[in-house]
Amino acid sequence: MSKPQEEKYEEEEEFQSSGKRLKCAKSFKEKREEEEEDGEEEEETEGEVSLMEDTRGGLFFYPTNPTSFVVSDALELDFPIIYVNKVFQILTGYQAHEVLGRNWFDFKALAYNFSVELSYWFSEVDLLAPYLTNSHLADFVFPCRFLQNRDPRAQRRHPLVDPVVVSEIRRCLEEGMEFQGELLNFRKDGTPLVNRFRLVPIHDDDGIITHIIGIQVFSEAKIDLNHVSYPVFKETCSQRSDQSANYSPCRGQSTFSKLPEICGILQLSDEVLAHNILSRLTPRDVASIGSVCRRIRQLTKNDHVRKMVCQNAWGREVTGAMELMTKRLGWGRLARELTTLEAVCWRKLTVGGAVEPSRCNFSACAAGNKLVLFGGEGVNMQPMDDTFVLDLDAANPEWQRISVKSSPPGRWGHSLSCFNGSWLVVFGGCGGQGFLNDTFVLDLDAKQPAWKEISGGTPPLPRSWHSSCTIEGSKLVVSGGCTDAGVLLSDTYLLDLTTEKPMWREIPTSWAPPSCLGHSLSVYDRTKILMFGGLAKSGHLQLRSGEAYTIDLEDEEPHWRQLECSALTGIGSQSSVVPPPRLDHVAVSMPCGRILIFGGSVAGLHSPSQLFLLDPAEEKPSWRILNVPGQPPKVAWGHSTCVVGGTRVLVLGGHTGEEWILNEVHELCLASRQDSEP
Amino acid sequence: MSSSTDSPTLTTETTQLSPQPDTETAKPTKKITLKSSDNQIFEVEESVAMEFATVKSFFEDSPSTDTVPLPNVTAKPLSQVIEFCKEQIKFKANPDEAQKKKYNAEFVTEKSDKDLVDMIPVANYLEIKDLLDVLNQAVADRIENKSVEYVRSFFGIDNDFTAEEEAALRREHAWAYEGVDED
Repeated sequence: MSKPQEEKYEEEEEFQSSGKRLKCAKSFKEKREEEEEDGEEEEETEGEVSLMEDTRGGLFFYPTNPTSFVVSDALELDFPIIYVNKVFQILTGYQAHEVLGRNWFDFKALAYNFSVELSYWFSEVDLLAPYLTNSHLADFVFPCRFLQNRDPRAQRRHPLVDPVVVSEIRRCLEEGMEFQGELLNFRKDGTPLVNRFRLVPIHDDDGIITHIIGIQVFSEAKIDLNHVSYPVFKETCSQRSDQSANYSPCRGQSTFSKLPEICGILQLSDEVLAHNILSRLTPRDVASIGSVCRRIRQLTKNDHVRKMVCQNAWGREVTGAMELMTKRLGWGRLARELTTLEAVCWRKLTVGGAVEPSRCNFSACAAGNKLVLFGGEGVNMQPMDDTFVLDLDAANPEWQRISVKSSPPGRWGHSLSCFNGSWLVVFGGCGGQGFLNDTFVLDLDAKQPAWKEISGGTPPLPRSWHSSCTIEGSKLVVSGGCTDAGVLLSDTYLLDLTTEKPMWREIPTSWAPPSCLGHSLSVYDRTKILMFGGLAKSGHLQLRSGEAYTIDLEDEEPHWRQLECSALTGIGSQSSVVPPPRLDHVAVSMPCGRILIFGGSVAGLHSPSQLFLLDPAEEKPSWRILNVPGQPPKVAWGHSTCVVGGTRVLVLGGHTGEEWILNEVHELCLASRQDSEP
Repeated sequence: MSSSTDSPTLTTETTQLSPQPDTETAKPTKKITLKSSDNQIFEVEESVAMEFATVKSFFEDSPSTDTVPLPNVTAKPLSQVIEFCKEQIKFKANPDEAQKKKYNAEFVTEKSDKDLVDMIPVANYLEIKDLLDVLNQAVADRIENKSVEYVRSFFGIDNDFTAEEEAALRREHAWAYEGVDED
């Protein structure tokens, strides 16, 4: 889905918010074009200097220093440098004619006496991946790769280079993301310089990366190159910032260099160890492997390595949502808490504002750290068409009705899902004129959000009380529900929202679970879906179901199959712990692939508050009971519950009774909150 | 499955592949000599040697060389690496992802832990990305859910922690040690 044209001209302030990188990149492009017209001799414009200011991390905290600027053509295989500004030439000692027109790899030969320390500082890495893929980038390490070598004959990177950062740069560029960092450079004459830099991929309207811009702010560095030994790199981000003024390269010296005989694997650079081996392990294995030896311990302590591990294990969509959450908690601790579930608790929060007129049967979903509510059944069964947002980043979150240019027809019993970080998609439901099968999308971060209808392919039959989920960040899956005539459905449809013209298509499966409504669809292991519960057709009856089914949409011919789940009877436990049959319950996909079930309309006298945990990826999946301290909600419904920021399960309307009170929110915290830290 | 004619990387591939264009068919396939650190000589076809990015750049810098010394590489892992690259050349000529996947899986399955671990620095030094990926994944799979002691002996790493330090680590990461496989 391409961004609307007018958004290209957004203000630079947008730069700070997540999901805005595409737009900012475009404003960079315009700046570059302007500057080229003005000629190379021009002084840096004020606009550029403002781009250097970064309130988030103080990255460019020498805003008065002149800004160096390099542009390379990403459409050419070798990424030739097409522009360097005067500042670059003055500060590096390289003349434009030595650089322009040459590709990065040729240029390496010119520049051996550069060496780089990437003492890094990372911005939160936002998810732009859905828009971007560029196979060229796979071979592209770093526009100034030559900077990493010092010895003229060196085939390897200078030992000062932090290998983890280099791999991060590669990864960011491969995925079309911006990178920010700090490096220690050397002028042509060998003078060391601290270089705070930002690499920005520039995309055309189709999302193809056309250019890469490197923006550098240089300042003086104080290091003694004669007292450096391998491996030298920073330990943690927090330590790093303390030392930035007085850089001491010997500090990180490890016992590795003192060992005369080392085993083969430890001959590998930290980059290979971290990027290629540790990154393939689970967060838990990484925590354990840290006890193997000091060097690996040092590597695994690096929060950036831990983040990479979590991203690989849980998927980028999942970790992207947790970015803000983990700012202070750290990825290592988060991984532990989400594995052991030691910090899970219920708590209540009160939010301001109001959702008026009052309603029920709306749909809620999370977009980043915002909770979005659309539609619902108002007074006298009036179908509602308004959109509300609860921004949980705010100091005092409050419900706000957002003004949208146009709204879908009012409805209830529809599905609402989030994709591409800030986009929402509404499908189906019951409207004033009967059941619906229309699809609308909205970019919540747009300046003037507007619902737009999508009508491609053959949409599913009109339906209500169906279930939906998003796989791989941008593919909407819809299944089941019931028709106007009350007939239950069992089909599965997919809408790929990454494409220019999204088309509905049915996923043909030889066998499908019994037709049902009010079931849950939970994504795990990236492309797999677990279906649980619902009101299912059973002969001539419709009964609550307690069955679980699974499908892998990555299969060539995806097919549903029933998941046989045993009940784990723990020591001293009297009864089996299989969750009782239910419908319109809550199903939460946990980062490590486990699924949490609670609430809903439960058969018999069972409590809806009891939490059940299942790992569908286990060889013999078995349900476990999860006991959670704190006051659970009396009821919890699937359509009014969502997971914000990856770890906060927010239950709206957790009180029984006629009125839906949306100012009292129950929260199931999956990880400890930074503000509740001791 | 895309045929080689529409492969986007065709231009880079054809320069390394036999059969060569007509004008060159008369020439015998060029051989390149590699010398391991334990002074074993390996004569390999140029196309295979060009799979090693390190060797390739060596030749670009000094094209007249006839023997490439590989001071960081011993004979055994080098022979295994050559074996792997020979197969990859075939897959480049006749792309068959399924067969390639199968071959790669078998290649690592039949290797001992030590062979795998010894090949990684070689693949890394010679910059053979595909092999490095295959090896690293195989190693990651083999140490998944294993105890610290198992991982140490797997890699042949000595424990350089003091007893107190190790005890402290074990307390800190107690959660990560639960339920690991038997050694």
